[in-house]
This record gives sequence, C-alpha cells and structure tokens, in this order.
Amino acid sequence: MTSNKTLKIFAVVPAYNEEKKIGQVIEGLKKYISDIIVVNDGSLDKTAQIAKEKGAVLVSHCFNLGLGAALRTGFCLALEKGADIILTFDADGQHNPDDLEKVITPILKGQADVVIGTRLKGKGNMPLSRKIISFLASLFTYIFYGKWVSDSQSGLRAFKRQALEKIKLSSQKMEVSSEIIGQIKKHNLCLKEVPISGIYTSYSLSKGQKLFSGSVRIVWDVLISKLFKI
Amino acid sequence: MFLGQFLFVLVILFFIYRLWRNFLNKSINKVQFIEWLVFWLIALGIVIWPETTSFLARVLGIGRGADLIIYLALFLIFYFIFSFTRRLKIIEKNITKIVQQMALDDYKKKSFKEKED
Repeated sequence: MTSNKTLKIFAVVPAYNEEKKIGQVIEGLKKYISDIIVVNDGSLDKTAQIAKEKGAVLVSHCFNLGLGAALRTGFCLALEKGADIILTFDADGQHNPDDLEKVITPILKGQADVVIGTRLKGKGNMPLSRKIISFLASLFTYIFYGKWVSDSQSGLRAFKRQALEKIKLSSQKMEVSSEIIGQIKKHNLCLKEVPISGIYTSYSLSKGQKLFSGSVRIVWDVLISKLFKI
Repeated sequence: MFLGQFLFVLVILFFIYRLWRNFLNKSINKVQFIEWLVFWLIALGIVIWPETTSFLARVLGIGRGADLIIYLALFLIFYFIFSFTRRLKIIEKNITKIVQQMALDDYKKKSFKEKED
C-alpha cells in the first residue's frame, strides 16, 4: 500500500489458542503492513511463540481475559507507538488480507473516521447460522446503542487515530463489537461500511460464536454492562 | 416456645455472633454489618413472634404470613444476585486492568532489553 510510507498503519490481532492459523495470518498481513501487534490473550498453545517468530510485536496477557480486553491492550500499544491508522484483524484466518486496502482507503481519502468491513455484502461462503448470529447481534446493537450496522460483529475494522482516542471501551468479551458501535454513535464519528469477503473453514467456524450460546452471551453481556454501567 | 423455634433462635444468635466477630476482625465494614444485623434481627423477630407475619401479610394484602416470607426471601435472593453480579463485574474489571498493565510493562521491559543487547 502506497500510504504506508507516509502514515503509520498498525494491525491489532487479538489471539487466543490460534497456533494453527496465526502464522498464516501474520504472513498475509505482512504483504501490506509492517507493524503487526499480536495480543496473545492467555493462549495455552504456541500462539505467542509463532507470532514472535513471524516478526509480530507480541504482547501477552498472563491469562485469558476476552476479546474486548485484548483489543484494548492492542489499541493502547498501537497509540503509544504513534499509529495513525489502527486496524483490527481476526486471528482465525476468516479475513482476507487483500481486503485491507478496502477498509483503509475511506480513511485515507478523509471519507470516514471508522470503517467496518461487512461480510454480509461481500463475496464469501458465510453460512446461514453466521448470518443469523450477525443479524441478531446487529439488531441488539441497534436496540441498545441506537445505530444500525449491517455486520456489527465483524472483526475487520479500521480506525483513524483521532477517532480511536475518543473511543472509550470497557467491555471484556465479545460484546466489545457492539460497544464500539455505541461509541461511534456517542462521539458522532463518521462510519463507513465496505464489503469484504469472509473465509469460512471448519476451523474458523469452530472458533467463532455459536448460534444460540453466542447470541445469548452477547445480549447478556451488553445487558449487564448497560445495567451496571461498569 | 416450641423446640423448633428454640433451635432457630440458637442458629440465628450464632449467625449474629459470627457477624459481630467479622465486624471486630474488620472482615466487613460498618454498613455491611448493619445490613446483615437488621436482616438477622428481622429473622429473629419472625421466629419468636410468627403471628407478626400474618398481620403484615394482611396489611399488605398478601394473605398468609408464610407467603409473605416466601416473597421476602425471593426479593432478598434477587437483591443478593444483583449485588454479587455487580461486585463480580467490578473485580473482573480491576483484574483486567492489572493484567493489561502487566502485559504492557512486560512488553516494554523486553523491548528495552532487546535494544540494549
């Protein structure tokens, strides 16, 4: 990407027990981005070792905290390192690194503060169960935070530094994706959705949210965080 | 006083004694001590004068004293679940902050060491 020469672009990859895919994910990202932060969220396998060997910046939680906490740690480090644009990228190999340009371009052109890659509008073999989870999660996000996003749970996002500095996250787990949408609305940030392709393998499906427990968990966590305002 | 009542009174007095000990040991603060003391004193009153629940139940339009106790118990259980969930979330949040800070400090130490080497 030509923009890399002038702007510091960091990718934050939260990872928990991803030894099978993390190497491949880092290799894919390295084609476009040199600064990759892997947040090893208390993995019990060789995730940290592989990430280090592949040349990523590695920061490790001593035990598993959850997606929200891992993203916050990664964001904190990326901002400290002077990142201008911060990307989030799932470690289970479900995103195509070729889509990075699509999520970064609107920020470079000044058309958006935050960009979310939507898997529902792009090419890919998204299974029906995932489409249902995604729709339900987006619906609950709309009910609780008042902003409609077609794929609120997408892990491929891009943030302008100034936007990420405003976003204050407190979620611990998967509900962070909805909280991000809430913060975008709260701070009146300009959000753009771009179509991306999802890569669904038996591995990535086994790692992701389950139809019932996944949806219930997100709703419960959003409810608790809203109720207690913690 | 029936034998059952007598046993309940003994059990409640034992809990009040434990509560007092916890307060003296500073395991609980003043507010928690008062909350629990009020709870056990109400329980003691109900055991010694069970007819008071019937009177209160009639006043509140519930019907029987036993029903009033069940409603109160349910209310208390919900209150405690709510209170414990909230405390658990606060503890979880604090632990998260510590672990995150440790991770970032550890990263900085390691990168500093690598630069020195």
